[in-house]
Amino acid sequence: MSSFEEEKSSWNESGEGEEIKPMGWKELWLKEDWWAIWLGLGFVIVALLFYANNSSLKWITLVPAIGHMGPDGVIKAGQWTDFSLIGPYFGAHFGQYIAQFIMWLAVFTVSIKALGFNLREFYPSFLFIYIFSIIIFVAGTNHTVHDLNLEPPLLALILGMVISNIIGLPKWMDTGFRVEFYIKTAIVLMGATLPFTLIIWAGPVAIVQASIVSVATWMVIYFVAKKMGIDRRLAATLGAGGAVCGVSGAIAIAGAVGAKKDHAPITISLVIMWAIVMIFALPLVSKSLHLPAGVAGAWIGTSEFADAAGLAAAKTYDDIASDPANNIKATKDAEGKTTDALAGFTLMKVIGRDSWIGIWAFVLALISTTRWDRKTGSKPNPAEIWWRFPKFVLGFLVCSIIITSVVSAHGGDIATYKKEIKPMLVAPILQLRTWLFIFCFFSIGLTTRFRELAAAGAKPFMAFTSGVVVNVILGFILSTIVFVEFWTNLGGGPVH
Amino acid sequence: MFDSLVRRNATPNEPPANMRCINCSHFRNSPEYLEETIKGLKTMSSGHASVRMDDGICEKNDEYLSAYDWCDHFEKAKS
Repeated sequence: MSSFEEEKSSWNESGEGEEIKPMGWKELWLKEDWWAIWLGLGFVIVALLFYANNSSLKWITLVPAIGHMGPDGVIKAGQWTDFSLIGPYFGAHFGQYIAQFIMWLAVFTVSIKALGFNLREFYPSFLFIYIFSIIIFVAGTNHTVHDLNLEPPLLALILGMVISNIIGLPKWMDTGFRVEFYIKTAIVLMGATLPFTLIIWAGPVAIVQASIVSVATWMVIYFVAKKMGIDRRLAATLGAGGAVCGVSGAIAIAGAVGAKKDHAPITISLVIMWAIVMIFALPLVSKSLHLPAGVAGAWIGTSEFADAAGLAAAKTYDDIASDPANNIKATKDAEGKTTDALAGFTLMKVIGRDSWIGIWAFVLALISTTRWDRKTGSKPNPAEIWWRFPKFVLGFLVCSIIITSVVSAHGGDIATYKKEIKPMLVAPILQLRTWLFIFCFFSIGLTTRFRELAAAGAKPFMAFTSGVVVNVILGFILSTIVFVEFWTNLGGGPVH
Repeated sequence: MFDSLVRRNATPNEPPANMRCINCSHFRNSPEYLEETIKGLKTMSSGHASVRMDDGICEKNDEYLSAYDWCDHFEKAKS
């Protein structure tokens, strides 16, 4: 009998032994998802407290808005052309930006420390992010830059990639480039800007559309990969990366099926490559087709691969649609801004795809242990569906319920919402979300080091790309034909 | 709670709960190690994400797998 067998039989007989120490509920302070909830909810509650006392957080949440002279001779924030306006603007708001930076540092210190990062590395790295975010906001709203379709999200991504791949930064600065942390917190805050009634109304359609595309894409990638002789574990991981949830989907399924160590990196390389292509391609193609903002958002939600990348694409399209010169149908606020693409994307990706990752992992783990002759896999535990669930989605829903309740408490009156609740309560939350977006998009660029990514190889590339083609076409058909009326009128759906 | 769930779901051939990867010296699953080893992980995901659960890398078998998996090369990790 081998020593393993001897030990095994002794444990079986005694029934005792050291307990497994899984993370379990310690994830409440050890996982980024939960910290995204604590921070997001914290911001919403503080905003609510200010609002309840007839005040607002907006003094500290401001976003750079360099002006331009309107036809009526009044300087308006927007696509500026006059560089001489920059100095006076920051001179007038210097104290606010210092206070805001301190606020961000205070908020992130607790979470970053709890997650085990080095604060001495985080602080200078975050200062770098913050200063460049201001530059990106200012540059991205310049008239000339705007005409080149370089909205702030795209500018952030490009600048980040140039810095990381051409100039280079010390590795320790990665501590501040927490892409997922920033985007999950932003998504939680987004919940406060989406009526819960809209989520209930649109959620089922998003789930149906996303499920059709996800299942079809996964099956195409898996069976094309199998036909090419690719290991079924890699095939399943590639499928998850392309169909479910990008890099997060890849690591969840790789763990569930017991993949080889290089399967996840291969998939991640392909996801990152195609996700970056789609950040640029989807908004530009949507613009050329004059797709309504909600429709484009739904298409991006089905055909982008990662939350961060998809939000960059959706935010870019909202910026494009907000420009009246582009003649794109969208629901706009008093300042002419729309968030229809972001709403469509969030519903499709967060509700329609992200929420199901635990089920995908459980099902594939079950298949791998019962049908793939996997000798070392343990029978999957249904509790995995909860433990793998992307918890930040809960924060998104809770924030939506909170703000919807506030609006309902005012009788659901649209006029009160537009005159008081939106500018004093919702707008500051939107601004915080906008900052987090730029932190995230810039960090994507800064952490995308092409030389470091694993070589995917021709066969995985072809298998994955076959899924991309199906994904994009099927997502386009469902968004622009089958469910077009629904997504076009998303902004006019049930409101607070 | 996890210990009892693993026992309840184990098939007759599977080792007991305390002999799974999570207790093995070949298994590494710290978020920092995974982000350093799996290139691109922190670009659009994270080692600290809920979706990862307790998954990690087995340096003996060169696999990325669940902390509750097992194999014949188990060696108890030093506490």
